[in-house]
Amino acid sequence: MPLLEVKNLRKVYTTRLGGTGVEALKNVSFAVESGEFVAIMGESGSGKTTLLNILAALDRPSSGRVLLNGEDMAGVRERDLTAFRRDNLGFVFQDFNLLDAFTVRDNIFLPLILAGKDFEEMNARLLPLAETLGINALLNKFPYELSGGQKQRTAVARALITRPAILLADEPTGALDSKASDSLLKVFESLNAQGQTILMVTHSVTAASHAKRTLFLRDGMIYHQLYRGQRTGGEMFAEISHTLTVMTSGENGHE
Amino acid sequence: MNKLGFYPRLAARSLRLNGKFYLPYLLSGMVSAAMLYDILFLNMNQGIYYLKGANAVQGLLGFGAMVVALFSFALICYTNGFLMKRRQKELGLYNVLGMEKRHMARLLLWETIYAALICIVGGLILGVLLSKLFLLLLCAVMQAEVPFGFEVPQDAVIYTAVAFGAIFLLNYLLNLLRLGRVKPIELLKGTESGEREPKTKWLLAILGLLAMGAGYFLSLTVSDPLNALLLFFLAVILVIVGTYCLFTAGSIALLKALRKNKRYYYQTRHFTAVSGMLHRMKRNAAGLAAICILSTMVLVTVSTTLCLYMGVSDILDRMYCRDVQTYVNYGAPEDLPKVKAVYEQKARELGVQMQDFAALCFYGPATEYTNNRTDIEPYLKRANGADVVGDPADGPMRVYVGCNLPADADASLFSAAVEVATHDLELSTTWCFTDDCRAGRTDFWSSLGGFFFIGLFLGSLFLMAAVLIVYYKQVSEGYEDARSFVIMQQVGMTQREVKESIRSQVSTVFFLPLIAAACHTIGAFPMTKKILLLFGLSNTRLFLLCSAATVLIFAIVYYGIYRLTAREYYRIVKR
Repeated sequence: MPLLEVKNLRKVYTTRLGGTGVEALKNVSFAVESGEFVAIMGESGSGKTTLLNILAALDRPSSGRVLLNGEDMAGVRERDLTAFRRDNLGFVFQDFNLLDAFTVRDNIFLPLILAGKDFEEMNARLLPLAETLGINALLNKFPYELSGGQKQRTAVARALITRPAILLADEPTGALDSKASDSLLKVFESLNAQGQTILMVTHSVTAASHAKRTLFLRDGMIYHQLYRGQRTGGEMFAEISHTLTVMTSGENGHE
Repeated sequence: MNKLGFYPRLAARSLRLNGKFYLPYLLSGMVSAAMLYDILFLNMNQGIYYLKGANAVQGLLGFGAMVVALFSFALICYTNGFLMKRRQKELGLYNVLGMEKRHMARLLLWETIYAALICIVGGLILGVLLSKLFLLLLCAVMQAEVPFGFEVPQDAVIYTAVAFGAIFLLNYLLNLLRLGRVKPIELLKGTESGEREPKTKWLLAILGLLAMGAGYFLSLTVSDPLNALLLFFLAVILVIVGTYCLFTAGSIALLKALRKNKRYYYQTRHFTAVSGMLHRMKRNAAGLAAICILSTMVLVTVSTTLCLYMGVSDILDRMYCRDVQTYVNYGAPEDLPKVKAVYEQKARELGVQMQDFAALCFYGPATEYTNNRTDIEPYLKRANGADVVGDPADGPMRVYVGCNLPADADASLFSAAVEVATHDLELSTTWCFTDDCRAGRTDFWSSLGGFFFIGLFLGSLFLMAAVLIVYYKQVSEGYEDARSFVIMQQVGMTQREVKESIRSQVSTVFFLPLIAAACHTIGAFPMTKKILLLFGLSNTRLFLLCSAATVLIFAIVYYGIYRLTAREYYRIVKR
């Protein structure tokens, strides 16, 4: 059984006056196995964000199903959603979304505190994680004292401290320079090597070339997918670029 | 587009767009202008001028007018500073779009003109409408007849307009100064610069503790009423300084200590509240201290003046227990028969029948004996051939002679006659006073009534200021916190937890000043009690009741404000 299964997902946004709706997602189906590192690529307006919002249970689909560990997310009651999200999903955002009022340590603790864990347990979880992410020395600093890359690694730590089934990342490298991007993507790779399932939405070819599998989304549909297999990062980069070129020129009515 | 009309229109538009912030500003400006006009109106009112005891009251009203004007200035400066900070981004945008600083100065000038016009014209209209009501109220508490007619003293209008014109002009100059100092990039960034975590300032905390302790110590240990009056202002200043220091330094020290306690800190309820408060305590503290001090001012002013007013008849019974009375201070028993003879002689000459005649020597405060109009007899002892009451240990000896007169007799004529005659006597001291107590009573009623009125008047002004500060604090923090709460929800905070954490934070911030203000009021109690003694009021129970009632009513009003602004805060955060 796949960890995450998306079946015939469709999302229509209707305007308030009830005019013609906009079909953000037409018919999306795919599955993510446990331990995979999947990138979803697409231009802006291709439905990436809508898809991620539905996967994150922040938005409900118009039709179709999302199964996590075989459980239909539509069946989770509204008031249990927050806890469900907290326990199963970890989020990393483009603009970090750290809280200025908290130290790095407290930012990372936040989801656990909300889950009512005690300090000893939180600390026990934090130390190895901070080690992996290389933010040991930063724990007592405040977000405004950190660089972009350090902020994003803090955000990753916050997402992982609940030990989520899937790490959802929305343009995680969008606000980082190339060096910080590179090191973050290496962190993702090594996390994935330890068995963490990652689903990343991006339009950076470099970011996508680190993933094991890349899905291409166009006009609300899965257009294509690429497996990395034994290819190197460079080869993958070329392959993804090629696919994007074909996909973009296809947009101009060219088969 | 007509170039000439560009800035006026832009200014009008920006006032409208920032309505949420400008409305309370304009409203409070308007109300302060109305209050200034009304207090000037009462001060200049011809009808009051001829009332008994109006002199003291009108002097007091003049003083009150100065307080209102100064306070309005501080209030408008505060809100204006707040508004300018909020609008930095907008001004920065104008700057980027090619508006130079001198253009902005022109824009601000128009805005100031609009604001001044609205406040002055609106305030005067409101003031004129309310003036009759205030006059009625004043006459009611002074127990005087209401003068007929409706007048709008020109001078009051002019003074109000000039005072507020000057206030707004000064504010405009302050804004120009502010504008001159900032760089465009800073304008654009505006409020979003991250705030550094405040350091614990132990020295300041200790200083605050010392100042506060000294203020309380003064209040608790002062024994002499006259000293109490002199030291009162010192104590007030000490407590104000102490409050500021403790709110700024003490609160940070406390919150940091709470954060160190891991069991307490790492709980959903406390976590966000503690760190959120710590995060902006530096800015918060001044506002909270100001709210606390304003609340204390309201409480102390209203409770003491209320108590004085409620105790008037009590005081009168003590001070003026006969219609006409004579005191010989530091006197001797042999003075008594001389004064007594004067009374009997004058009564014969003027052909009036003296009633409740009393003549005695006593030691210590007069009030213990003389307020018993008829029951002096049991206290009397024979000493040196005269009736003496009390014991030399109670204080210097005084001679008291007094009588009531029939309703149709002229008390002022009688007292004047006695006064003149006693001056010709050979007494053991020159400290001999005769009072026409009928006139004294009316005077007293009206001046204490005036006191009470001004206490209420200033109290409501202070209350308005406190409300305004609270409102601006909540609204601006709401905008700052909105983002944090979105993030918390993404990380797994439920809607209910969000609400709970907001409530915990908001209510701490709100009720801290209230509790501190109540403490200050209680701390000031011994001192204000002594000062009330100067007015002849020694009824502690009455004072306790008045204080308790004032605190209770204030707390209810304050809670109402809390509910209103908390709702506004929720609405901003929930977006």
